[in-house]
Amino acid sequence: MTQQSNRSLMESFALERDPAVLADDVILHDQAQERSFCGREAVAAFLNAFFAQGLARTQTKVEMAIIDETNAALEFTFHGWHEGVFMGIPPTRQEVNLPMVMLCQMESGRIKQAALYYNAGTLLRQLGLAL
Amino acid sequence: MPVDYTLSFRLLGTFEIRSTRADEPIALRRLTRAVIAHLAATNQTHSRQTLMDWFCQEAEDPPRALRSLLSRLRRRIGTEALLTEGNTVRFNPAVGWVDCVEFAQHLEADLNTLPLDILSMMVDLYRGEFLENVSLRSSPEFEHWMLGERARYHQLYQRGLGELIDRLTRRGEIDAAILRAQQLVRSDPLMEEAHKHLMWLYAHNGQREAAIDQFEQCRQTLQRELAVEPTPELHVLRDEITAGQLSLPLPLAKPGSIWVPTPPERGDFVGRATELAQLVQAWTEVHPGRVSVVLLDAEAGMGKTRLVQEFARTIPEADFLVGECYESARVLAYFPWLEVLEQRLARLDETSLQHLSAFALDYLARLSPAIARRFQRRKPARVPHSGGELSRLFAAIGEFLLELPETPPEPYFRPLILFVDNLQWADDASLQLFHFLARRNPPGKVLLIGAQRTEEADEVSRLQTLLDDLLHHSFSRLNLSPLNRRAITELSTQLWPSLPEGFRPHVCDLLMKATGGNPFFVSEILRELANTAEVPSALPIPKTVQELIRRRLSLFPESVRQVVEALAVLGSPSTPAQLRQTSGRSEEETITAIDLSLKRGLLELWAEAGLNRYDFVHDLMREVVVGQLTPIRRQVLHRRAARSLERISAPAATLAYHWRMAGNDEKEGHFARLAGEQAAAIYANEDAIHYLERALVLEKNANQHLHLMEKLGEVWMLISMWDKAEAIFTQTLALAETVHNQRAQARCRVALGRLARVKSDYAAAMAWLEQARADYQALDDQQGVAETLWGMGAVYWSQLDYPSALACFQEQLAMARRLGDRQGIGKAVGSMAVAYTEYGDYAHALTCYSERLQIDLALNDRLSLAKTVGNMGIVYAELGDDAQALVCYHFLLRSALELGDRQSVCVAVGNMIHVYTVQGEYAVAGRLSHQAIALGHALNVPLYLCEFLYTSADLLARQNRYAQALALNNEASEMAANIGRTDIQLPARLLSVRLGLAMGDLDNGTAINTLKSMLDAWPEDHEQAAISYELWHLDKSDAMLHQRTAEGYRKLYARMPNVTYRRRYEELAGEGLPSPPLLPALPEGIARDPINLESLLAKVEEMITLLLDGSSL
Repeated sequence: MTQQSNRSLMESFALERDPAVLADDVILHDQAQERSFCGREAVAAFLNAFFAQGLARTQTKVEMAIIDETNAALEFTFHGWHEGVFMGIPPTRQEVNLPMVMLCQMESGRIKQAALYYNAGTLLRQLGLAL
Repeated sequence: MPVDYTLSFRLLGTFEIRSTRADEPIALRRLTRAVIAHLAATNQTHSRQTLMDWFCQEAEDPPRALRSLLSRLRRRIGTEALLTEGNTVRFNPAVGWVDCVEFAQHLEADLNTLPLDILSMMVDLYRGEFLENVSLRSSPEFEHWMLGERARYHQLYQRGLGELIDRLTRRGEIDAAILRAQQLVRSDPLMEEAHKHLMWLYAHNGQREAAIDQFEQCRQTLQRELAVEPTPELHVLRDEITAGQLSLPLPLAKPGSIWVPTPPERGDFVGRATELAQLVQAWTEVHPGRVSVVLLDAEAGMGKTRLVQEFARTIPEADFLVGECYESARVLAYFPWLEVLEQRLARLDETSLQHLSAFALDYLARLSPAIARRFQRRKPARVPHSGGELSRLFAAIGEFLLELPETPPEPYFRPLILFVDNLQWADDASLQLFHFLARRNPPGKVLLIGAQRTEEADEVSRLQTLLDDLLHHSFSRLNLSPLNRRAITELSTQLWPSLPEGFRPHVCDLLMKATGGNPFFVSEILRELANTAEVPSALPIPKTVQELIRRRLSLFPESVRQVVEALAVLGSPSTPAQLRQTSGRSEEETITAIDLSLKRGLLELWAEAGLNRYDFVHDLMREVVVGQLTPIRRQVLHRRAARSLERISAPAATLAYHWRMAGNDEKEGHFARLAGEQAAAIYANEDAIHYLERALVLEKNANQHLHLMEKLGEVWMLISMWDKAEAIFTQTLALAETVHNQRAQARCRVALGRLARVKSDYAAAMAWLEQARADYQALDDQQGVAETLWGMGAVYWSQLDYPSALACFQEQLAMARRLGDRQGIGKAVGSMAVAYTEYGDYAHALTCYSERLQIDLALNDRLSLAKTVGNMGIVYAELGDDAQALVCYHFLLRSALELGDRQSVCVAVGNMIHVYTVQGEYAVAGRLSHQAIALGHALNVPLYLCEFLYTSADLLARQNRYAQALALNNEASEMAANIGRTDIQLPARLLSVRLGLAMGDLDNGTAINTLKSMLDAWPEDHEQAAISYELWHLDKSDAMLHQRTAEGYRKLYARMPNVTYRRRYEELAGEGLPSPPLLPALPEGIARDPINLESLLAKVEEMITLLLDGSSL
């Protein structure tokens, strides 16, 4: 795949979290919580739980993207308001502004492997649940 | 085992694991057996920490030991049997079938709905006690868990058997019922109900002899084990069977009967394994003939009651009687003991009660209406209170509780656990009775447990007397300490299971700090967090916790409460003097209040450097106390706190806070200004802005306003928030004009000139500075004039007009020397050094830097020192000493990060790109490039940004990433042209030619022609040399060009010993040039500490994020 097509693939993943761009056997590592999800369904469910459920008025701003034919690194900021149950945490009405980095490996126009980096402490501090 | 599984775990009975792939069971060592049994039976996720705590406590390196243990397990039972996810481990239920899991699933459910064949199958899974041959003495946690589970499965087995016997009996399948009843008798030979059922079944089946034999077997067992006879009911059944006149009904199980036990509770009992083990140990030391006593001490919410309940569950053979004391019932004599007596009464049958002496019955009937009713006695008018009467009453109670056999005529004294909770609220008579019973000599095993709240117990003199008296006897005392972090984590896992594991440590840290490890507080808050519809902004304090804390406070006298309120308002550990002044109480009252609060566990001592201060044991206490103050009281306390703290010169920020809360604007404004200035002086820029803005709101005086606005503008400028700085200086200038403050006007114009220069608007910059100079001249302010000269020099320098810049700086230096202004001298020589560097006059540059360094160190000006060292790095880099250059840049970066000077951070990061690039460290250079460009854009500093864009393009070109390099180079070139940085324009043009060739956009001929045409446009020696050098690379056959270029670099190097000139000459001429002059060493301390570049760059990234999200200052 070309760099350009990978760029649009990554954009569609980062901004819309379109599960269609995931390979069937995709693996996603949530590095902050040291857990992994295997398969499109599990990864899509995790992404939905993290980026969609419990947070309102969300925005993803890509700060930097380094993309070549097989790899991509995205630095982005995830912004939203915690107004529903998010990852088991009841709503706090707090603003979430979370810098994140995602590294992806691509194969045949799909994301084969991804690693998501963020600071769980930063997130919880924003919710008032950490020192 | 279902066919889908590859492993089967049989844990009910002897431990056995089988694989479908092998005939023999899998052999495991003792420890691995225990681990896999725990994982498989619990079928839950376990943190590695918990597993280490349980199974690797004695290992030198527990993480390693656990890894090795798990690895050994995987080798033995297969890798797929364990699921590890980050810091957690669990058994994979998809690959292994576990007998006890299936057993419990079915038998804990509603048995009525369970088909008979399944019920029978489940009961048959029980081959023996849970983990019969497993033991791990080194892990009390495991042993405790295993014993609890063993009892639980045994109860379930009996429950299943009971149900099975009933169903089979009802269906008339008597033979099958007999087999199951035999199993039940074997499971507990002391269970008379089981014997009775079996006798009935034998008799009903025509097996009269077997029935009589069963009776004999029961009688002998009871005689042997308990030295008692079977119940009269069993005797009657035996007689009827003997006579062939069976009349007793079918003994079917009923709810609450012995073989339908309630499934054991599960819950939130954590962190008390040690205390539980101590109680179990105390139980093992209980012997007939003497009452053993245990006293539990802990503050409210520590889990005393729960601990005793859990302990009692582990001793099912003992009768557990509980008496609770209530604060509201403390005037009712014997209140807790009445509860105990009634429980005892309910558990004794009529036959047992017949053995109660008439004397005891008489006294008990007077005390307990329930006993009076049971024996149909009239309630007496009076309960004895003293003298011989009291002794007789106690003796009667003692007889009833401790000496009455349960199953006469042969005495059987069931072991007894007597628990009196909340002794601090017990009435005097109850305490006396407690003491009396503690000294009895009962025929059976008796453990008497009392629990008291430490924070209130000290005040109950009777209780203290009781304890003193008990000291003469032997008794154990157990103190419950707060939960540790591990226990809190475990509790949070149970009460808030949906919280992702990665979040748990953060939440637990917060809980630990907020609650001080009080289990009740932790549990309540966790329940609130897990179940609330919405989490409040602060940590929720559940009503139950608030009430508990309020109750504790309400127990204190008014004077103590006032001292406690003062502490809550003071907001941090405080001295007795501060508490006295804020509370308004006398010294004596304050000291008494502190003493009492310490005794009751409300406060703790903070002893530091010989100073005793006091604070709450946890933050919740403070919050609740503050929360219940009325607004007017809070205001009064803050006013007193502020006055008290003023006397000890507390930090201005603290005083500003207290005066704000006290509603005194004038005082708050004064201290906010001081706090802002103090914060600015130590580069705490965010705090400085906060306080200066607040002071501005409160300040009424126009000249003070000007001062504050200028200060604020300087901070905005330091952190490179140019627009905000410009806005405030513009406003300040307008105000200064209005109030005719000419000096302030001049200062504002200098600042606006500096801002215009940063934005590369040099004409505007010069105009502001000219005006400022005129202002200062009108005021005859020489120092001010010198300041404007420096500003003008900087504008010239930015425009690459080094002679004019140097002239300005020299003039400023002369003025500063005349005025004896050391700061001005330092500023001048530092700037001259920069200009000399641009000239390539490194000797002069370094002389100037040396003077500047001395002044910076003498004045302790950290920011200036950092910038000086950073600029020296440029000299080192140009002379080819990359290592020393990096030392300087690292120092600048670290200092600038500490001081919050974002522009210097940007410069330090950007300057490092080239050094790391020439060293071939492209990864580091690439990261620096990204950061420098991001910062350059965010701070809007084109002067630096265009240079960093060019060096980044050069880096990418060296990595053959031509397209990206071209994009950055074009941007650099355009930006440099806009602001007149010809020193960047030329190298960018040369790089674009190189990139054009590399990408195939230019052929050699076109490139040569392009370069030749540039020779006319760039006439300076160094420019000509640079272009010729590129040309020579394209046409190495041109000998004239070769010679001319080499000669050009030789001459350049003679004038300016720049390492690039030397390297190029050596490349062209094939011979060396003299080494550059030796450079002076950096001052001590600059390079002393090793630099962790990674951590510095992480901080830069954080700064970039804050800048970009717009939420930062």
